[in-house]
Amino acid sequence: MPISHPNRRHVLAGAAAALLPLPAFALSESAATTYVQRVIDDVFGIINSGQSEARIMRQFKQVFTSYADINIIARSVLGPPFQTLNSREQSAFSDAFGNYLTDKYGRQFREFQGAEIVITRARDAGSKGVLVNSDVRQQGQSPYSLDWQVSDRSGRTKLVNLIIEGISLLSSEREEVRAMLAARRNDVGALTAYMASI
Amino acid sequence: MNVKVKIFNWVIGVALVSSLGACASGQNLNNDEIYDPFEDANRSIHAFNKLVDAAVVGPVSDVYGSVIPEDVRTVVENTARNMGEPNAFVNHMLQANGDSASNTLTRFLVNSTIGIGGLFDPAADMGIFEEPTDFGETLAAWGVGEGAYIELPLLGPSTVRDSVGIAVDLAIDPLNYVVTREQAYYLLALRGVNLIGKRHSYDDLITVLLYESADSYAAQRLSYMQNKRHAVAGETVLEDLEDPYAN
Repeated sequence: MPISHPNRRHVLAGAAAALLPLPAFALSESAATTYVQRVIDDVFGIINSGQSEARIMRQFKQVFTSYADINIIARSVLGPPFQTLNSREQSAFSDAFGNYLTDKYGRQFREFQGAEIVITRARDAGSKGVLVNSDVRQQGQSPYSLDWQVSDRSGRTKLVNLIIEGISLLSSEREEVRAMLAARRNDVGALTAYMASI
Repeated sequence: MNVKVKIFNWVIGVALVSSLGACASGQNLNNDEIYDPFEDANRSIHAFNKLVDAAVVGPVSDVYGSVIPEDVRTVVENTARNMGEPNAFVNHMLQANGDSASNTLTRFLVNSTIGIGGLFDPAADMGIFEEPTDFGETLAAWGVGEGAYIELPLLGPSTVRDSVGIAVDLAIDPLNYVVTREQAYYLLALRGVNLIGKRHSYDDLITVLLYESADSYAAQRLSYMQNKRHAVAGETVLEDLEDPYAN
């Protein structure tokens, strides 16, 4: 399809898009795919940079922080108790949870050493965002599936979940946080302090 | 043979009965909806399994990993995997999954010949990878619900459906009908050693799941259920996706 010759319809559509308020969930499958490809490129750029492991891990954490929607993930994972917090406590929890999350998953970069991540398809999941499927391929091993749930509902395109062979980070962490909270007599402040201290 | 047929009939009977209850609970994925009526007993078995892992399986796998060279461990893994292909083939056929059945058969033929009896995995180098499956997944393909979550002693996480599957797999594995009694013992030993090898390969993951989780029982249960549902569906089902904005 030629794209260099804008016809009347294209111009009108463009004008309409500019005038109409954007829908709340505007992320297209192709935009989500481009976004995930950028994450993948960044990750392998770091892994293949030949730096020390400590530096790689630090940069890996930075990538995680910049691409993952930590606030949304933190809120979703804590669940109803999040609503009982005042705004200062909410942001303290989000920050501490971000620290916990990047520490836990930042260590996992070794998984991708010598691997190749190939995006296989993207599907629109409506208000839940776009699910981008990829295969992690390693020499001589069966590929495994890594799905990226991307959403722009918070205002910026971000990762809201990672799903490895069906196992969702969001629900695993929800269960984990629930158990950690129960171990602290449901004291979110104590959990925040612990997560911040890691 | 007769005994096997009896076991088979019994197992199918149990599967059908359990499916009646399971179907009612539906397939929809929600983590609060994992059907776990035996949680207390399961948690006791989980504690036992963790104890066995910490005291025996983990340490043995550490020794195995440090004493046995990687090439040898790979050969063990390849051979055990190759010995599992006939059963996977049968199940892919039962699931009417022609592509996976033919891939599995190709792998078995290529690896048993060019791969010298399965010692090597030239099929993987050709881009034909293992597509493991079992009778639990066959039951799922036939519409049998997963039923209650069960943690089995030594074998770990399962469901009623998948436990029935384990028993049926023992009965229908084509290999059982061609090996001698002595060879069957070697096969069992090979599979045992391979499990130790797998424990070694996945040490990091297992450590996080079992020893760093705040509630390792719940963490393992969730991982098992989500992973199984993904394997049965062959993909992440969009309807099962979580809405991170839901609360």
